[in-house]
Amino acid sequence: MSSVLSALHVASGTLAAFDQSLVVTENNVANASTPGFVEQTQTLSAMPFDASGGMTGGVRAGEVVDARDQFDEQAVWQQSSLLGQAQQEVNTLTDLQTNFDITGASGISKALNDFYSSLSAWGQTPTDPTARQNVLDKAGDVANAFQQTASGVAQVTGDTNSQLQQTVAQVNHLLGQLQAYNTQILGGDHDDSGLQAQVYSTIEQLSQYVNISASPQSDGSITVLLDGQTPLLIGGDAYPISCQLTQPQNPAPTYPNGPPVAQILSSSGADVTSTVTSGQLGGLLNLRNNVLPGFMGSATQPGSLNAMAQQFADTVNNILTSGNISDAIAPDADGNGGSPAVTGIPLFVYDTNADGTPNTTDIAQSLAVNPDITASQLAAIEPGPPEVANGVPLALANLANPQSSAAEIDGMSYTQYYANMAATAGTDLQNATDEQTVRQSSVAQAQNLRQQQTGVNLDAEAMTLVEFQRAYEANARMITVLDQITEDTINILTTS
Amino acid sequence: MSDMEERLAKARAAVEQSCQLLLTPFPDVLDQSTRLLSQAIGELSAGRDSIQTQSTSSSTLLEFRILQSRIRLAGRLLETAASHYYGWDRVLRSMVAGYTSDGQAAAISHGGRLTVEA
Repeated sequence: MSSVLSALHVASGTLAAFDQSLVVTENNVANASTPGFVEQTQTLSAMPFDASGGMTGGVRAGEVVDARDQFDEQAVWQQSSLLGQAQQEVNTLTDLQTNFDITGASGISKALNDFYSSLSAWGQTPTDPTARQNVLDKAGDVANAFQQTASGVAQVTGDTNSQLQQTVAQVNHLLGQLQAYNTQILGGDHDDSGLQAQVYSTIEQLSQYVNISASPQSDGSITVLLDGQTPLLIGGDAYPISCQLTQPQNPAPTYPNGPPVAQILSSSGADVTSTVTSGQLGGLLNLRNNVLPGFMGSATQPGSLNAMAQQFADTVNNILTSGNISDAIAPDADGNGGSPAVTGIPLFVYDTNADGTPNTTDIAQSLAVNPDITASQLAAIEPGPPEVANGVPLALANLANPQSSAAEIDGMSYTQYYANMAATAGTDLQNATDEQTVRQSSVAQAQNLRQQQTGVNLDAEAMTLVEFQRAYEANARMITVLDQITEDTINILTTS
Repeated sequence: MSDMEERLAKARAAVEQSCQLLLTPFPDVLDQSTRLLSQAIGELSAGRDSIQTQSTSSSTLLEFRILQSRIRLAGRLLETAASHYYGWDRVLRSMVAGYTSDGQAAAISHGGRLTVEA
């Protein structure tokens, strides 16, 4: 009788164990499309069997284990961060590029060409009031074009500042969600696969914003670190980050009025900007602290747009003030009357500091035609000797095709310099777009690798690694050869 | 379509197919990728020999630049896949053999194995 009862007991335990397995399988099927969910397996273990000792054997359900693998998860997070950065850079650089028209149909390029044309026309009829007025009008267009471009870039900078704040808020919001999940896990829900799925889905979202690493702890909670070093979440405690704009003081700023830089601070107030290297936040920081200052300046550089505006205005002003508006009038025979030559006055003005020095990082945005100048006060006469009645307009018109280094900026004409600036914006955008394409594929690749990962079988994994190594080397050689052939062919095509 | 343009199109198709395969970079898939890349090399080599004797359009140059970007994408995908497997290698070595005195994952020797594929 007892053996029958034992058999029933074993059968009952076995059924319970397999029932548990079915529940796990059902859960796998139901959550097949749930973001962050990974397949789970019900482990089964044999019970001791010794009939003489009363041990009836059978099977019991063990731990439920999932196939989630931290290494693969981390790879997806890393690629997601890099994609987030590339996407952000494409968005912002697209906005930036619209401010630089190199077709000559609008903007600084067109304004410069029209200004040079007006100078040539003035040189042919130096006393013609219409030609003079046209020079003033076109100078106004140049100033407006600089102002508009600078305002456009400043707008992009302002938008970037706003997005920095929004992204930091989004990071902190997701950290808050993870904190709540951790609290739930620490409260006893550490075997809840649905909760785990939410945790990992949230971490993947977070990785698009900032470069993080996350690791499960023995109590089931998740620890999240920024760049593997700054704590963002430990157990039930979140450590939110913040963003501020500040003027760095060490070393002392060369241009104290320059746009401030963006800083990311840890919850303890430490500057952790340098550890934010990817994700949307990393992209925004790179744009805000490296790319945009190249155009609009910072504490350490004037910015190419300001440098061009200042040097152009100074060069035009120097040529005009070296000329004369009118010749000297000699006194009459009795020594009466007469007047000295009237020297030229500057055409352009821009913002200055209280001590009269140029406000170097605000030149482009403040460039304007001197409000005190009239058409008749444009100096046309080059005093010489020999005096040349239209010497000044001719010298100014020559800025279009410089004859000396004094008429150049960084060894090129102003038009070329502007074209280079615009090309920089275009190249940055093209590079970011290419990078975005690569990262999209890399994220898909990392997700595929994670998807295929079904737990670690050391023997199989070791064999796969050996096979991969062989296949990798063959592919790498092919790609090197292909790249070289293509490069050679492009060289042949571009030089033929 | 000229002979070179035709070969260029075939090479590009092979490289793009290879990029697609490299999204799931398992050893057997990489073997297929090797064949495709090898095919692309053949097409391009033949195409390069013919361009020196005939004039080419700017659109052909553009096509070559696009091809170049695809080849570099394939290269980047291969690099990230390699980084994945090498990372796995470190994980496995540390799991199986522990760490060396300087904190690196210890080396393991892989036994020989014969695999027969039907």
